[in-house]
Amino acid sequence: METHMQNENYTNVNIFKNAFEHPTPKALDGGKSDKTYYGPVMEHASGFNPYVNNQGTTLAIAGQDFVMVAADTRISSGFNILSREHSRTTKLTEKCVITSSGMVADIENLHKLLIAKVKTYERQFKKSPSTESLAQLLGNTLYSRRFMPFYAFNLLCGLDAKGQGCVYGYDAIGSYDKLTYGVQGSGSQLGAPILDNQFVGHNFLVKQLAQSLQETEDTAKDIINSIAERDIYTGDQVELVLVDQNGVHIKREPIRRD
Amino acid sequence: MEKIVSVKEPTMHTQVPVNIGTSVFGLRYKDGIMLAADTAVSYGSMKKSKKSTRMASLSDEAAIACSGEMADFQELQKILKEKREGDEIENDGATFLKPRDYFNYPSRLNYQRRMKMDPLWNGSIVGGVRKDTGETFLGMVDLYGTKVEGNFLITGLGAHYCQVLMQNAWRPDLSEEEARRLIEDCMRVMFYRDKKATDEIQITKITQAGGVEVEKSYRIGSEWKLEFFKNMTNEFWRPIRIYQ
Amino acid sequence: MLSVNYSLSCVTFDPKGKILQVEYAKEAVKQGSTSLGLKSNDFVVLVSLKKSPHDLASHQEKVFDIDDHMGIAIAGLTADARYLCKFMRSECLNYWYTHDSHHPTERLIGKIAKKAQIKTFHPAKRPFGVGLLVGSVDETGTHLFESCPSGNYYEYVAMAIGARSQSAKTYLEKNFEQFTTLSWQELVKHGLKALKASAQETELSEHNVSVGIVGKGLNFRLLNNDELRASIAEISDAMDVSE
Repeated sequence: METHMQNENYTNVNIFKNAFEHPTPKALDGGKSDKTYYGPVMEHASGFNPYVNNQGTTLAIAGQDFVMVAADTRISSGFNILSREHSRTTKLTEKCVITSSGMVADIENLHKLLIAKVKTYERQFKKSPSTESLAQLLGNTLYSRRFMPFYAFNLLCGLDAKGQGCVYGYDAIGSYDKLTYGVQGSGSQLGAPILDNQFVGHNFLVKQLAQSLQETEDTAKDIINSIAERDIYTGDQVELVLVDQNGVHIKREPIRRD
Repeated sequence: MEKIVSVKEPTMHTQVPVNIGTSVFGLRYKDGIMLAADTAVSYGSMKKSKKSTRMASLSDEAAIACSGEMADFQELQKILKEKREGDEIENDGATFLKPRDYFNYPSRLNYQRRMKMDPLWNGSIVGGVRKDTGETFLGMVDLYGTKVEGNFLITGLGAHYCQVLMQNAWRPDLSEEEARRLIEDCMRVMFYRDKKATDEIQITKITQAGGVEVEKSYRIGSEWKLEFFKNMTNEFWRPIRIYQ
Repeated sequence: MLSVNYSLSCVTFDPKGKILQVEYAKEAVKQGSTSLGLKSNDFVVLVSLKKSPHDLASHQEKVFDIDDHMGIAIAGLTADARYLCKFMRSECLNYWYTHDSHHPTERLIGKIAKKAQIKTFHPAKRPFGVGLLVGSVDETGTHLFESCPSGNYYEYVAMAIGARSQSAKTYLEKNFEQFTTLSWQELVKHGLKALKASAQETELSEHNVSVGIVGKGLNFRLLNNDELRASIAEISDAMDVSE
């Protein structure tokens, strides 16, 4: 039994390997029965991997009465750039947007699902769902696919019931938390410490945190630009989405394209 | 010797492409859309067929060109044809026709098949020009359901080799001759470098005036007497390195 | 022969070749308060007179939005209408989900007609007691459809259904030729005038009138109270002057 256990690597096994190089008897039922199988183990050369990471970075910062979302617009497949103008951010209500990084096919599906749910809600209750409700809805939607998760790392950004900016950060299977700022995607490791530094300010002798809309926008843009300096999957354009009392405002600016 | 046990495995769908077509190209030019593919279908490293068609007209406004598994391409063609005929017999003026529909629908189809772990193993480029408005459309969809739109699109290995060629040469006002020359240049590069490519190519033009024209395949010339090939790679490059 | 022999279910024709349950269902539509629709090349407007069952009760909704490009006005059993409305909304969402575009109008009307028709030849089923006016914009232009309990559907440039709809129809028949190039504001005025003809002694107000508009580049929406009040005031003034 011991010897069987050593040979349990099923992935990408050359079909001849077991037959000729390691003619060890191998029970295919995991050693539950005492029968043994001696022939070559037929396995597929490679299976279909349903997931692909299209990379890219998105970040969001909550202000006193607004949320600023900044995301790049590049999507990649391996080292290839698939598109330089892909939007990561989708408007859900007048006060709420979702922005995601990960696999764009899954993300599109997730965003469409949420839009459909928002529309259904709006018709049923004659008002838009609150950002808090959407945060819970997104968590449940992601968890409903616990065993074939959406390959999507999301930030749900909007104004809460009091009109204050809020950001909810998620993992792919629906665990979420309310944050004051968040960053997701291929540049998250590069972006997180800059955000910590700029918006918590533990390292400042004199604390001067970005407060105003203009400061926040400039900082957000700077951070995406900084990430684009080092992360090959981030670049082309920065899409800035502002959510405030007047609704959702979108604009784009070019950043480095290499 | 003990008895050989027959092992019942769970249902496995085709997880590996078998008969493979290599890169396809699509670009916008002045009059409309041009799609191009070579005519080789490979079975492993063997060219199983050197004269297959890897593109098809879908309506009088739209066409598709596919790389990847050819059986899946034919399946996709069948599904789209059935969908269209089903719509036509409804006879309610809502026929599934617009070029964009031929893009959105396969993308959802591919996404659904990916979820079933039974993918249509294709990278497809859909091009179209609307007869009524003249609006052009060019989109690429892969086996995951990813949708990409652009002015020039390449699937497969061609994306590595020819993206830059296209980027440098593409203009929105390319004439038909220029577009054709650009595509032939790209195809020649692919023939030199991609072992699964051949020098026989096929082009589909889609224009507002002419509709979809799937042309006959033809051979592009290739030149093997270049210094580069005669003296082998290293011999050819070494003097340059020294004298720079 | 007593008509009751033929009127208890949909499985039997009467000697005149009618299915009485279906005829009764059409009567239910005629009992409902007036709904009308009219369209130009670029816009469709749906106008309804809302009834309230009691002074203390609110008015029954008569105009529903289906999708960004489509809305319905109803006459007859509101409960049946809500069932159909839910069906249409989910069909539109599903279509958008797979095709990324709006549901073609006639295809959707066909689906409703199919549902209605099934209810006209089944022994254990009751036909829908509601008529729908569907206003929509799609690739092929603006559309105004009427869907009947019998499973028939028709396309119109202007149509009125429900109680006393004949007066509204007469108004629309007189004026439909000028509709083609009108803006939605103008269409709303014509719609309200037609409704006024049917409403008779009932005074039109923002409380008992619903107006839905949809057009090219204009998502379906219901006019709010202020807009309604303004439009109703306008037509009242205009009518006072002309009459």
